[in-house]
Amino acid sequence: MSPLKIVILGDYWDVQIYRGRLYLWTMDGSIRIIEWEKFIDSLCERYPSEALALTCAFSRGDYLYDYDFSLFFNDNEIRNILTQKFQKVNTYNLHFKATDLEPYIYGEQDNPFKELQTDTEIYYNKIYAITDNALFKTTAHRNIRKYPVSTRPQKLWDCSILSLKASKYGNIALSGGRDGLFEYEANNFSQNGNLRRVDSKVYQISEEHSSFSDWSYSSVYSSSQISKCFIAVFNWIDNLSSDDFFSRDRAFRSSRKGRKFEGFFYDNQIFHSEDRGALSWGCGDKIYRAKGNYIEIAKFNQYKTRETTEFEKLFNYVDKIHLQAWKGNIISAGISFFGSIIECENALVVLKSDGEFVNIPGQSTRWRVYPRSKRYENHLHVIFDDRLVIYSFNQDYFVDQLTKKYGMYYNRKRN
Amino acid sequence: MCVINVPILIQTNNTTNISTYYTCLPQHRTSGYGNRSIWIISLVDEVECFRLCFRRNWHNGIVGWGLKPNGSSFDVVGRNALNDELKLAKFVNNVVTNNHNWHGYPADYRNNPQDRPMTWILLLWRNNNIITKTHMRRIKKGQECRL
Repeated sequence: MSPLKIVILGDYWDVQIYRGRLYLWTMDGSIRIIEWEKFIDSLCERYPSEALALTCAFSRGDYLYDYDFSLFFNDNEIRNILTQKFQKVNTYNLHFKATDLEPYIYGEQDNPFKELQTDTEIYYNKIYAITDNALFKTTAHRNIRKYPVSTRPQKLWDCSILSLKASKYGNIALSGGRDGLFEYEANNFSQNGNLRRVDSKVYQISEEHSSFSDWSYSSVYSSSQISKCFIAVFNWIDNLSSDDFFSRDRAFRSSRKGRKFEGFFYDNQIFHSEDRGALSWGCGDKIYRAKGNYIEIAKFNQYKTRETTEFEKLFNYVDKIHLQAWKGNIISAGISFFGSIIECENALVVLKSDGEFVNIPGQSTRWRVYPRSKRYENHLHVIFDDRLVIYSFNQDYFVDQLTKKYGMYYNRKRN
Repeated sequence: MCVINVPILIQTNNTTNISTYYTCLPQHRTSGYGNRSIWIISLVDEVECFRLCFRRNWHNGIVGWGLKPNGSSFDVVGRNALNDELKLAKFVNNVVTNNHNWHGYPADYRNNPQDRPMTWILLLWRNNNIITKTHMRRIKKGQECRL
């Protein structure tokens, strides 16, 4: 199944999507906030017979992941109908000029970070941004049309960081290049029992070079094109006293949880071989290593950290797959539920969870996936020189989550 | 003629009476000075790289950045201690009374945070079609970037 896409023309620098709003940073120093749900509703009105596909693809990516739908998907006829609906959307021309989105603009203002930021994350209604010399946060999702994003960002740390990534537990991994890997506690929970504190709420995980990083549950995978790639394994521990345990205050009980650093594992240990020049990356239960014309896959089991101190047992080597030569050197990579994304010199390659590949040619200004999101986990946003393309990948609903090789495991919970 | 350690007059501002000099330093010409990057272009080209930076205002009076254009791409200007090719140059001003004395070196933006060009210069280059937005992002994030 090919991904669906919406194209929005314009000169953009960064993009985020959060709680029904699309945040677009333009090159002229402004930020435009679009009412995304309203925009998708308008497309559903335009194409009513494909409203289900449009909604699932672009505003309710979680809908078809629901456990109860797995019963429907066992029926081949229903799967075929759904697949046809998604494919029908691909025949529509969903190209829009910036002016076409004007009816859906919630607000437009100057970028509060004063310079085009290196990277952003949104967590718990706050935008975290890294600039040349600092980490900032500011409030997003305000109900003030003139300033939906607060114009008074708070500086959190003087630093020179290359990349940041928020976990769903309120920690933000900060890749500091030569300075190493750090994490910032975005909430007030005590979660860093045995790390070295370098600043208020900032802890150093490693001094090893880190280009970018991502979260494997409570652990962090650090990737580097210059030095070793590794996972910093953390375990959750309960600091509950017997009185705390019976507290009705859930937030208080959560605040008594801690994270304990258990150790580093390098990619040569995980993949049982040294391979200089290969890049590895990890998120969720998957770890990949790629170079030239191959990709290796390993699985990480965070839950086994509770059972064993033999941490070699946390990793399972899955496979090595030979592929056509990459489109130039590998620049960076990431993982979402729908697959693994590899940015090469001249293209993005998406290794989809159904085993097929998608090539997106051209050099991208920026790309993002949103695996933490509750509704946009099937999105890949790619900014090119003159446009933003919002890809939606919808094959993962029909894939066996336990056996798939590309993409994180999606835990379909029973209601 | 360009000679190491001898300041070369670039210009004198008749209004402010401030003279701008550039000095080629030996620390960035031969190995043996720790992990410093090394120029591989000639002294004349090094000075010319600075002149371009100065003329085009690719500086803020304290620090400047340079490139050596060659058609639609840029020449390698130096190498780091690991022998990686470097295409960016960084220039630093040592202000002494009324004289501005600049020196420079090949910038290793991937390994040294202080060698990473600031956003304002990357944006200036992009707005003048010298680099693309992709180059801008890759340099800011310390990623490999084929200029």
